[in-house]
Amino acid sequence: MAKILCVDDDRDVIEFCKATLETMGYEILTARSGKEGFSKAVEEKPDLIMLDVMMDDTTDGLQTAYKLRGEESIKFTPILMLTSINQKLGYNFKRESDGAYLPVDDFVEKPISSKELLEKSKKLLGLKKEEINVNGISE
Amino acid sequence: MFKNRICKIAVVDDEEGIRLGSKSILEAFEVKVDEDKESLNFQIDEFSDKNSFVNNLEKEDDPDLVLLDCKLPDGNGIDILEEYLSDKDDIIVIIITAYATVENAVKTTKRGAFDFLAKPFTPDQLRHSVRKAVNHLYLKRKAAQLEKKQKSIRFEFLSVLAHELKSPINAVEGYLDLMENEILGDKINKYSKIIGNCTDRIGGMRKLIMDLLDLTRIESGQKKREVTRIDAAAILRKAMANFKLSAEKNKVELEIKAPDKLEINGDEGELMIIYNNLISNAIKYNRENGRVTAKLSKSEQGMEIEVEDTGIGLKEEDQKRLFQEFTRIKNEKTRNIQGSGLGLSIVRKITDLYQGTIEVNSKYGKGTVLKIKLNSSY
Repeated sequence: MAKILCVDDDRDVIEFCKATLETMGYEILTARSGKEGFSKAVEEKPDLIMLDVMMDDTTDGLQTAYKLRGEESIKFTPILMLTSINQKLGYNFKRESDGAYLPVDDFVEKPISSKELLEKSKKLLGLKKEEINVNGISE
Repeated sequence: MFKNRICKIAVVDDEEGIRLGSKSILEAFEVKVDEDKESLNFQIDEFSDKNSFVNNLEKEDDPDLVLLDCKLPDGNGIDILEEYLSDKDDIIVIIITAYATVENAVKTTKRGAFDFLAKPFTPDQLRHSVRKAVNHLYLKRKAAQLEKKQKSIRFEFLSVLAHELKSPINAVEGYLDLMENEILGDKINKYSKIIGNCTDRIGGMRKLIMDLLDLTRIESGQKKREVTRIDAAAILRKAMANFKLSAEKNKVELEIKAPDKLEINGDEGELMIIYNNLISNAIKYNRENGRVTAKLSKSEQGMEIEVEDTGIGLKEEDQKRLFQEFTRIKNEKTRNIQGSGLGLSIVRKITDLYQGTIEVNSKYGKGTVLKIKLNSSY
């Protein structure tokens, strides 16, 4: 069964994602910072990484996304970015417009709905290697 | 406040003598404003009519001060004041007039002039009036600066507060979503952990709101203080007893070292808030099988309370920030500990009411001692 790594410093978000995704039989790994998430990703080679934006600093998640894409062994792992930017700035990230510079495959806005989380995880787990967004990463 | 410590003055007068005279007097003049150590110098720009002055207003850096003649060949000083300078709060105007009448004085000040000088005026009169105007402008600018700063502090406070209130709502909303969609099945006992989490988050939010109320009441001076003769030792024992359960839950031992009785002049509620915050922190930031020791003793001025824990300690750079509002030291050890981030800021404010002092002594990884001295002899 698919293995999903959930990286967020908010234990409630972790709890929520774990409960939701485990119902589909996925195996859930967790990390509480970008640094921990990166090393777990390299070690465990998950099939999907969920990544919060603001952790140790305001762009920890974004930096981690670039780092993950730069690591050959896990470069093509789909990334689902969790953001709460809408609650702060009223702006919604979209793959169509923001995917050009952010190497992630989709966005989920907090508060997350379980339905959306399940749909998007399922979709990203089905992505083919060539569909992974590695924009902004030099070859 | 003034660019390069130079006050820019525009002299607008059709009489060349007035312009040149003012220029030579003021260029040699210096003013010390308020508590500033360095003095201020003057740079003078001359204008002989309305048009040249008004055109210059639109393109050049605005002057700080305008010496404005009432009668100009192409216009009237009072009209200029009304038309071009009334919305410029940051320019101060002294009207120069040949007719020193009360009527004129009233008319010009009503339209926003700061002062007026009657021709012919002596160098001293000019210097005196300019000094007064510059001081006034300085204070006005300083007040505006302070207000701006306060606004931004307020804004910062509110945005952090909003964030702190929003996170538990997000959490509870998420957990409710799990229940609504029966993500964990249709048996209620499957949800006991997340229901517990919800209760915790709501409790944390209530604590934040209570702390916020305490803080605003103390800050606004609305909280009525009831200073009487109180027994600080008995109150400490009461506070410690209230934490018995939470100490057991965290596997922390509580210890009191206090005299049987220690009377001071103080407000029981305030002392309780201090105790509660110190004890609660010492328990929360402790380690398993740790210890919290509360030592109370008499001091020359009043009392001294010292709360020591065997917990995670503070890094030196974090100790300085400890009493700021919404400071929560974030690291892997504190990640799962809840708090409003207002507790110690409240403690500091109450300590100030007693002209007291707070000392922090902490070793990262070893523990923290917080010592508060209250002056109760006032």
